[in-house]
Amino acid sequence: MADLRVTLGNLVLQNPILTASGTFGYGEEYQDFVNLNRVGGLITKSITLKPRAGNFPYRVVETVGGMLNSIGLANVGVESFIEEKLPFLQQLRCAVIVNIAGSSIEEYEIVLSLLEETEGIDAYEINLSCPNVKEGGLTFGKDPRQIVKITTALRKRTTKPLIVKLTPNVSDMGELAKAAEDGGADIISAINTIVGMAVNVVQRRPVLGNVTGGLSGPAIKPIALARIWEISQKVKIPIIGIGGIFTCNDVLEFLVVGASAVQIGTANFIDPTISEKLVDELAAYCEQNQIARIRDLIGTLKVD
Amino acid sequence: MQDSRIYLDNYTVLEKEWLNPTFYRLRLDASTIAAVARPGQFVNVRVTPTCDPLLRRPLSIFRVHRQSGWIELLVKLVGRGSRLLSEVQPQEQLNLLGPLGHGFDLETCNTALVVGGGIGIAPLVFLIEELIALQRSVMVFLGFRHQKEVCCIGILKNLPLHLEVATDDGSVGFSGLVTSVLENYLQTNSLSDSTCIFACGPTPMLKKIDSLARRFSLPWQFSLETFMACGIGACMGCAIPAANGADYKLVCKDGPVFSNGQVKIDG
Repeated sequence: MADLRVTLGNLVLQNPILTASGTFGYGEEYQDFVNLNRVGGLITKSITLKPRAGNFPYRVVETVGGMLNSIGLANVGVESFIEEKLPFLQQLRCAVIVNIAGSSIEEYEIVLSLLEETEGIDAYEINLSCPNVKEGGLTFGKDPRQIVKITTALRKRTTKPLIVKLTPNVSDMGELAKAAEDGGADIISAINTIVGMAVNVVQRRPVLGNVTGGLSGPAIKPIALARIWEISQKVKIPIIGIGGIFTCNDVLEFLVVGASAVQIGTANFIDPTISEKLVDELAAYCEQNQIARIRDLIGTLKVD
Repeated sequence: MQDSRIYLDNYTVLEKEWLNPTFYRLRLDASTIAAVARPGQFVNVRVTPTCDPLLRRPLSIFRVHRQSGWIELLVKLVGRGSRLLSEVQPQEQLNLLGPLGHGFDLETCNTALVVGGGIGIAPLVFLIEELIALQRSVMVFLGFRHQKEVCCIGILKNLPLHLEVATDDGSVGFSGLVTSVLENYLQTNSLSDSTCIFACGPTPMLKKIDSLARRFSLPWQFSLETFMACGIGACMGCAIPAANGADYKLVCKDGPVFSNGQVKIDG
């Protein structure tokens, strides 16, 4: 058996397959389809201080090779999350990573502090990149100085791995990643969705209630790979790759470019069993190609 | 206790039949789904094994035959997804996720007024067959654009029910909107306490039925649709405004069947 374990700073995963925030609910939605104990880890929907109803519909629309979403961080709020959703996650053997969003540094701090008082959370992913809410998120996420500030503030409140999720909607992601590293982040995750739009010509109106949304799916994979390459040139901390992964070959591409693990997002909507399938396919690939340790593939891209 | 199991599997297509120039019926060998499906539930169908088009298509369960283990879907040709699905041949397989969502509640209804507009008939035939099995009194009102679109009459005409058809151009049945036929029925018949309206169709039709239901103090259950991704309540993409105006309901999980007081019907 090939060794699929990967180590991202102080976060050890049994394999590099994680499920992406916003595409996997609170985990329980997928328990009929996936043996959650077999994936590397699960990342929850973004949790905010107060419950959020989300954006006005439409919230999703299909595009060529992808989809746009503007969910607007609909979630139950940290209090209900701890009471109603966390107990299920606490029983799992895979890494449980809680994604946190907020509209001020203080809000991120409060949510993280409340979660710190609970058991069973292995890491935090800080959402600094949601394109679909007016306040917070992306406002911080595009400004390196704000990223340093917020990462520094959260670093003081936890010793658990801090993953900072970055937006691709800037000209230089390396600069954002460097800011997160300077602020004390352990890991970078990228990319969040790319701002996009769809138009109903008959009505001359945007299809999405929020006018614009975030593009995800296979259409964004080449962009994600290039951005991860860009980030890997700028920081020493490990990277989790996200963006349109559907197949085992997609996973391998991200690892070779420099990601130490990957997140499966939109693909969960099309095949709810995909994350566990990819773990099996990755193991089979290693067997067939005499790769003893999957981690030996990470960052092996040859560029002349 | 209702069985809420959800299956994800490849199912063999047994039959494909065009019911009119744009509606086709697919029969699938799906005994697992047939055994637990309830009227109003849907399946999320992959129309291609590739990523283009990307998302599954949510389709109402049109009919079920538990003993024979088949389910049927009624699909209208509207875009690329439904065109690809129309090219499927018997013996080929389709990947289905389902049955999904909450179906119609048949418990409290003794007289059912079932109203369909166009492809909105898709979830209603299973409902009608179930209501008749439960020996309820069933009135069916179907609206179509024109004679070419009229379908499912053959299935319904042998059942013990009262059927009225309306077409926009009067080529079959009443000339005008199906809601006018319903309105006429409501005005001229005495309504019992356990009369309720079941409907599926275009939003203007549902808005009109909502206002009629208010006027005649009748409860309704509407099967609704919207853009959807996961179908299992994880992505929160298929939200529609709740009746309270502040919240949202998910069509996939809270619906697709909603009753009056739950959601806002907006045109």
